[in-house]
Amino acid sequence: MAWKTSPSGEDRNVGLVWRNTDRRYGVVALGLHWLIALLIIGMLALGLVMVRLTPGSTLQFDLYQLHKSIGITVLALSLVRLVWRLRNPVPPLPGGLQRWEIALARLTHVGFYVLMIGLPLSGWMMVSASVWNLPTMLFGVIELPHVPVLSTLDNKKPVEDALKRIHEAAGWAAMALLALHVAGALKHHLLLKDDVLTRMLPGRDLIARRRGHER
Amino acid sequence: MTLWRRHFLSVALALVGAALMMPVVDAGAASWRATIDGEARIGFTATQTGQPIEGRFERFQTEIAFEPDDLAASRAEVAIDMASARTGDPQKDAALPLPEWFDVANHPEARFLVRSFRRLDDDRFEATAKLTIRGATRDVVLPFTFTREGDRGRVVGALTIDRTDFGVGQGPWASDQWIAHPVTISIDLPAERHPPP
Repeated sequence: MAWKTSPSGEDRNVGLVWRNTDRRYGVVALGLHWLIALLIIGMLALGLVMVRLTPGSTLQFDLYQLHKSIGITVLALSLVRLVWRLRNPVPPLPGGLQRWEIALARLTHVGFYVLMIGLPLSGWMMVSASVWNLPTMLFGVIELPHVPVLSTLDNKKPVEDALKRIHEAAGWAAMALLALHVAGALKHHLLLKDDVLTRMLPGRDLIARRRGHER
Repeated sequence: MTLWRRHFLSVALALVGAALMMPVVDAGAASWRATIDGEARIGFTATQTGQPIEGRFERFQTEIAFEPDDLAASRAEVAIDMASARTGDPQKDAALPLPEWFDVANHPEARFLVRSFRRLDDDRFEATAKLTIRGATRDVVLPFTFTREGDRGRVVGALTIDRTDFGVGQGPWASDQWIAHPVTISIDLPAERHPPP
């Protein structure tokens, strides 16, 4: 192996590791993961709180609109994330996992994609089929049109009610999945002491470096 | 004798009579018209679970000829573009034109047609009118004040309606649980004196 030294002999930062490597998740995957995670936790909290406020109060109304706005944001981000995921292989699971552990991990991750896209979609459909016919103003600025057909049904009430039940049930499922996901991450980190959690955390290895010599 | 010469005297008398009458008819025939400018305002106040919603109509037309000393000859008609309702809240502004509320697609205009005026005081009046919103017409009374300074005047008044009388707020919105039934419509119109035509 020939070693050549650059004039300074020091490492140079040449940028960020945007894409996943075989050792860790890249900046894009990482950024999307934590941003969406934060929004989802907020959405679950909003969902729990907003339905318990004084019906029709201004606060409740405003929180509903915020919930819808963030929800569509999560939908958009999740679609970007899905495309990124399909085009970027993820680091392989660590060795030594049991078959059920592997299956559970895969199920959790697939389940999250289903919910991250299904929850906002079901919410959007519910609002479209609502007898209240409230326009959706994203962050009070852009109007999101209703889903066609649903908004012009003759008998909206049963459809709205069914979608509401689906949306709420999916919300509870997301909470359960979130608990499972966090438990799994902590198990890997604290018990198994592998790098499953750390490879989705920001770290120095996210900064691409080129050493003064070439390998 | 020609027809003209035979009737000359009666025609002359009629003309003189008319000339003598003119000043009497002239006095007070000037009427007040509303000036539509930035200051003219037709607003509305609704209540959402105890909180006021203030809005206004940005486009309306008036045909008003108001003579405080000759109320019988006065008239007023206002046409309001219902699509011009603005509350300052984009959420509400997007909802108001929908079928549940103003149903602008089917009823683009509201009309206020005065049937008679009544004087209560020096500058306090009442207009009995037919108000048509969303296709429904109801008799209403609009109390107002008319104040003047030289050739400038101002009409200020308000009336409260039950929005459900006009079908504003359909389905679950017909309940007064979310949006109260009483809605106050207020006017503040500058006016200027116009000479007789």
